[in-house]
Amino acid sequence: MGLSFRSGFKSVFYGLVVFFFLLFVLIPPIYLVFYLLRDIDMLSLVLGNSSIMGEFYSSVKLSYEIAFAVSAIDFLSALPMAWILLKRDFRFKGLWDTVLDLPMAMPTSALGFSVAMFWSGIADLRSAFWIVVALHVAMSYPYMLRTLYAAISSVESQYVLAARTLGAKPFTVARTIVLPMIKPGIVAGIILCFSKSLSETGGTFAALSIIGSASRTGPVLIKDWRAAGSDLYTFAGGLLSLFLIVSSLILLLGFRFLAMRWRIPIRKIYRFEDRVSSGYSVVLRDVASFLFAFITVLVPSLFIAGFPAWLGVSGIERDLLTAIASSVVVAGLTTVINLASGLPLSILISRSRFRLVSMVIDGLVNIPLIVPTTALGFSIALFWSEGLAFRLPDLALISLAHISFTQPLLVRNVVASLEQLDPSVEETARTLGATPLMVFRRITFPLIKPGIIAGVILSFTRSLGETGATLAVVPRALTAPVYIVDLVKAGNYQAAGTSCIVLLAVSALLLYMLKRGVYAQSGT
Amino acid sequence: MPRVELKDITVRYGRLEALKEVNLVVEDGSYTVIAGPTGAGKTTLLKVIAGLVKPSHGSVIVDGKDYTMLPPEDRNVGYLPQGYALFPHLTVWENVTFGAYCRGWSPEETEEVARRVLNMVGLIGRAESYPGELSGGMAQRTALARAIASGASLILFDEPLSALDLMLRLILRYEIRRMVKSLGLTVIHVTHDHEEAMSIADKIYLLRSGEIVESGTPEELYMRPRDPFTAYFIGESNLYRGVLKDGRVQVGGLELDTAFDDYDGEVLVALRTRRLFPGVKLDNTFEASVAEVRFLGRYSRIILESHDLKFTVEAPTVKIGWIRKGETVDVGVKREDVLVYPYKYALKYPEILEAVGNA
Repeated sequence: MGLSFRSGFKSVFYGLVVFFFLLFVLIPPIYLVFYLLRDIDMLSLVLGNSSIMGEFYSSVKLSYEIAFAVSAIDFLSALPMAWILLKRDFRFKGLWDTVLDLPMAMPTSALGFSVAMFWSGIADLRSAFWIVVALHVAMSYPYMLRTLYAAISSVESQYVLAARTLGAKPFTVARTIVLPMIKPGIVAGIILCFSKSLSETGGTFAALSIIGSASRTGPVLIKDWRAAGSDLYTFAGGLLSLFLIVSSLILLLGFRFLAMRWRIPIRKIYRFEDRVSSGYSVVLRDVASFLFAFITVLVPSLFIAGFPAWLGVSGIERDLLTAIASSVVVAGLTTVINLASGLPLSILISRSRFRLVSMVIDGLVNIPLIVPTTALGFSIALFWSEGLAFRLPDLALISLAHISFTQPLLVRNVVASLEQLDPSVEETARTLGATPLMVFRRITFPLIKPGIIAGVILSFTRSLGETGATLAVVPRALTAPVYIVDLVKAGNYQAAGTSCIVLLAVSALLLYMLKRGVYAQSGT
Repeated sequence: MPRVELKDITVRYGRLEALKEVNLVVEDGSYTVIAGPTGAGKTTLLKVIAGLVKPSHGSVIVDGKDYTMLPPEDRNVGYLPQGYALFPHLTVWENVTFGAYCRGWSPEETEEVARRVLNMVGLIGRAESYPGELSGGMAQRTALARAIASGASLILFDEPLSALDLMLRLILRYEIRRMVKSLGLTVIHVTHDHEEAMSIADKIYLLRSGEIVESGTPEELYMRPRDPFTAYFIGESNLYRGVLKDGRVQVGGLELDTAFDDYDGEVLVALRTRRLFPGVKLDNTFEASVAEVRFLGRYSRIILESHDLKFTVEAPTVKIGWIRKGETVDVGVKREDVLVYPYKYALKYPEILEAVGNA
């Protein structure tokens, strides 16, 4: 083991790391159970309240219906596009490839504003269900595309070539060889998009208020109940949070379990496979994929860019600058704490001598990724204010909530780089006389730096754009995405549009500085 | 049963020419080896025949029919890429029946063929195994079974033995040949290993930088190579620069009798390490001192010095085991084993120029 301290110190150190991880991420949702069970009277009161339970039921139903539709649409539309990006060469391919990733870089409240303005303004779309689906597809499509792209590109071309020489038409190869081989990627992509849709709050709320709909998804309802402030609604919000956490966990883990066991059946060759392998069908598929990505992802996401120009630029309010400043403080704090606790945690996961320990921690770290962030934030707020009766400053509390769901982003990237690292490199360094700390500083760290940078950028942007968890923790928080949502709610679209663009510019600038800073500081 | 003919095949990738006007004929039922160094275009050549690479120019003729534009799935050619490409998510049985499945054979026919082929390669007991559970040799036989069971009678092997360890490689060489011969298959086998090529081929095509250098039986290429590159690549040779005049060649301070008298001038001289015989008096005999002796088991390798030249000699240990370092021995070489080539022909092969004189 390259990274081992003296064993006593080591155990205490890793013990602390795991303790903080549990405190930040896992204990709050568990506390939620105790909180709800402690007050049985309140529970029966909430369960007996038909208007609360009616909203509870319809919001959960709407959330899940949307998430199902979004993951299905994402999968069906991103699969051919991933295929095209990998197998075809065309002009401006690099540009198209980059542009498709843009929605990933946008805070979802800005994205929600842009997409909703586009569909309600241009296409006069008024259905709450479809406008949220359109928003979530625009938001999650790039994630599905990236996941499928990575999965398909990892299938070695020799399998495809071998299948062709054995008599399989291109479509048959895709169906019987490539699809089963990328099944883990498909499952991961569907889970990712499903949970993103289930979790999204800020943009969804903005979109719903733009079309003036009274419908609310689960996370939006949690946010509203939290803002209402009364004991009854707080309790109901806790119940809804717990329900969303547990149901999404069961559903998605169950889906993964079943999907990984299920073998894609290969029974017979269908007549249409010959026809769809070449000629017009291929052209049709390509054109449809491009059109879909263009109309439902690109244009609605970028719609905002032209918006203030139509309305006349409004002055930038002082409030906006304050909001952006708080957002940056929160995102910075979140990222620093993430680094401090996530790095040792990653080392523990990838280098522990006990397979079971690393597997369990790895599994736990990834849970927040598939749980609605608003529900998670709600449980964290309850845990600290009610459970520990500990009054934290607002921004610190928001950071805590953000750490819970951004930590996995950092840990996954770092663990992946650590696992790619050949342990013999570290071992050789030890035989050359390096102490464990020296090995980490001079060998391990420089080699996993790209993973760390990727993780830092992901968790910073994710924190910068988060609305739902922020509002669940501090109902009247003043961060930039919340500020935008408030402007939209007040019907001040002009200011909202301008703010979105300022926020986008600021986050792009910050990202650029962050990248440069991390590169410069670590040196070579 | 297939006879394959390539006519003027050229493959361009941008400005790079991977194959340049390659012509070759593979007779029905023969075992043909395409040998050549890394980057010679061997794999590209196989892919052209399989239909996986479209040639920029030229045509692929199989049994008199033009296959050039036919997609790979309609060619009925068994292609075994490096590493075999067994589908990891399918069992041995499903791998072997994949071709029948794609071609829509009846279940009875599929079953019968797969059973027969798996029996033949001795893997019927492993039909339910996944590729990950097979040894290197089994994986190879499965890949062969898959190709045969899809109805292919032309098999393309791309470095089929390179992934295996040395012992298995030596055994499988003969096993593969025996198996495909007993089935009457036509085989085109690509390798960079000249010994593998010699031990398995009916006919060898030597490829370098996308061009066919020479073709012939293993014996022809070894004993009478017409091109200096063949003398260099197939079998090990000592290479020198010399001058040929009236059938006698001057190398360093040595003069040797040759079988060539139609050329006078500067020449490349190649002496096979296994065609120099210590302790035997032949057409040419010269004295040499023994600089080094290495025992290799059945063979021994000695380095001799004579007339400011170094010679590497490899011979069965029973024949030369008595030679000790520091001794002086007679070395015999037959007139026809002194291979000479006009030196200007060697100039286009940088690797040969580098090897000249480095025994």
